[in-house]
Amino acid sequence: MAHRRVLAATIIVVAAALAPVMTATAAQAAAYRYWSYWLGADGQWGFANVGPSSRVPADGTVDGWRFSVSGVAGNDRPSFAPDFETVCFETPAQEGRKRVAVIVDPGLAQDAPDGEQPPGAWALCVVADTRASGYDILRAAASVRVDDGLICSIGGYPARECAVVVDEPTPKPSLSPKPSTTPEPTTTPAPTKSPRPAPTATPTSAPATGGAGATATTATPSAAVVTMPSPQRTTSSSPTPSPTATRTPEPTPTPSPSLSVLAGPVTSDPGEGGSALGVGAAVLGIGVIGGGAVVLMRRRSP
Amino acid sequence: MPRMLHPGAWWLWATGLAIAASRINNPLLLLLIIAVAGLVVAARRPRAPWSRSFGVFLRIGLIVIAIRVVFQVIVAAPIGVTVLFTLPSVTLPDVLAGVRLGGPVTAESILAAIYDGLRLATILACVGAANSLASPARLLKAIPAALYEFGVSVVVAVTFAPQLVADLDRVRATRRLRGRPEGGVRGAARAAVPVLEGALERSVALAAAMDSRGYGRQAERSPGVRRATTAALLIGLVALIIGVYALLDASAPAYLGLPMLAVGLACGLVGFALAGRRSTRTRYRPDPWAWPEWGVAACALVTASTFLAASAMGMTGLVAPVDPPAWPAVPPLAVIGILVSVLPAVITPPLPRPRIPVGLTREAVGA
Repeated sequence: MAHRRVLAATIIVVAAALAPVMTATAAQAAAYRYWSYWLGADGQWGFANVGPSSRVPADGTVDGWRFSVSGVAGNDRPSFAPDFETVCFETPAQEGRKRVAVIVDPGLAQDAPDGEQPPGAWALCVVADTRASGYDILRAAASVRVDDGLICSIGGYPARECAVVVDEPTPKPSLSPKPSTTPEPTTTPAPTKSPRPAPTATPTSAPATGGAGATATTATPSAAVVTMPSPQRTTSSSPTPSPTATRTPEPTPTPSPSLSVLAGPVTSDPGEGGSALGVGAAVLGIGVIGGGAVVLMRRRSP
Repeated sequence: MPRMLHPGAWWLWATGLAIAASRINNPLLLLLIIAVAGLVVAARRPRAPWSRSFGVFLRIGLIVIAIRVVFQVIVAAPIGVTVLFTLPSVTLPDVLAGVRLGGPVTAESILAAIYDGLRLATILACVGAANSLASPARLLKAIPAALYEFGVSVVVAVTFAPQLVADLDRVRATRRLRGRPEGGVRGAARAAVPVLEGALERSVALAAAMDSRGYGRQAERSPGVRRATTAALLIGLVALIIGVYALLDASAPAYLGLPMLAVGLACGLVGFALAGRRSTRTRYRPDPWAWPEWGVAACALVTASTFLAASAMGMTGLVAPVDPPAWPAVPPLAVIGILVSVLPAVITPPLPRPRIPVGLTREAVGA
């Protein structure tokens, strides 16, 4: 009697334990949409096995960041070859500091969150303290939103989400732009004016606030096409308008296959911030309620 | 008509505020939640030893924030660029995942740690508020009959701790009167034996008293009913586990999530009802669930659903910007959602005045 009951209970527990295992084979793999971290080596991208905070890039290396949906072969890494010389061509090496090229590729338009448009790919040569980690390098190149240890957004893109699960990966690997850092032949050779003069026209080293600082580098006139797909981006400008430097005023639906080498770090407005006045009013309200609680508690206790 | 509110209603109210706190990071909204909880506690807490737990939990919350900041400084990777100071850093070997200890400490990291700690402290304050407002003995009285044995053991455990403290005080007082040392390791060791002896004697006396009052008696049930009860509870529990797992794991198939949860809940409820028939007790003066209880529950529902919906729809202002730091926003909808939970301070019936034993004046008991 007793052993039969034990047997029945065992069968129930074992069956319950096996049920998820058996059904798991039918489960489809979930896809995530997030910024992935890549390391350039020998002209190829390799996936970083460690987080950017636990890695100290060496001088003359390339760090890559790509926003994409996981699980799509060929659409996971930055679309541009990790070419250090293209990005850091005009940035002179400094004694006791290192130069790291950062290439940020916000990916395809169809991978973007609803209502958002990926800005064009950009690159920046960061001059930093030799002990600066991959995160310090990235933070010197752009504003970064971090939540629970994840890099949520770089340069304000995506605006809100953080490594969300998407239902199905978009199976369109062939649509990724052709990797190239060479400029496309432009049809408008006339020099166009930059929208804003750059604060620093010549490469200078910005004062490092946190051990890592970005020095302004300008695009070599023959090596980069300056694109400005997003209005929130800081602009890059060439000190002397060159015949090949051009700018496309309209945001393109898919990221242009060109890499714009920026002069300074990408900043984005915090977006969710409030005003000091609102904070003052809120603190006053909280003080009134909390003070009322304290007074009431004092009066009722002996 | 002054009376005590149903303890379950207070726990629902606190859970609503805690759910709201768990969804946000904005220090202004979190402080508002603490203030609202404090106001309700001040207005409706009974005069009892356990009603001081709100202040205790607030102090625990401060410790939590301090611990969170210390861990952020020592272990976590820094956020942001505003370096306040730099600690000597050690990188652990690869066996320990190569974690870097110390290093630069940034203002953004500290701010993020304070916000995060404040969220946990707010949830703790909500638990403390419920503890202050709801009498634990009444809450245990209200638990379903199926959990009867569990309830009895909790009652015994809950009453055991204060008695232990009282015993310890008594033994130390006698040692002091006899001129023996009462402090230090030696004194504590000498006091331990009589205290444990007293606790054991009290347990035996309690067991005898409970047995003589009919505790532990069970109604006669047929073997079929007994087996059905066990099966329903087991299947319900397993289905609940699978359902919760499938809901939390995004890669699990959809038919495992909510349907399994529903099956588990149904089986569990049937098992509970069947198991409850085993107990033949009646309840002495059960707490009513009248319109004030419904009102408090409605407040909790409004607060919790406001924040669940707002965070699901991605409302701005629930999360305060840390890097770059900026003033936190004050979203009006969220403020209204929190302020709804201050209503229980008004809509619940006032507390009954404490009964004063014969021979004591009002001043003597401090009323």
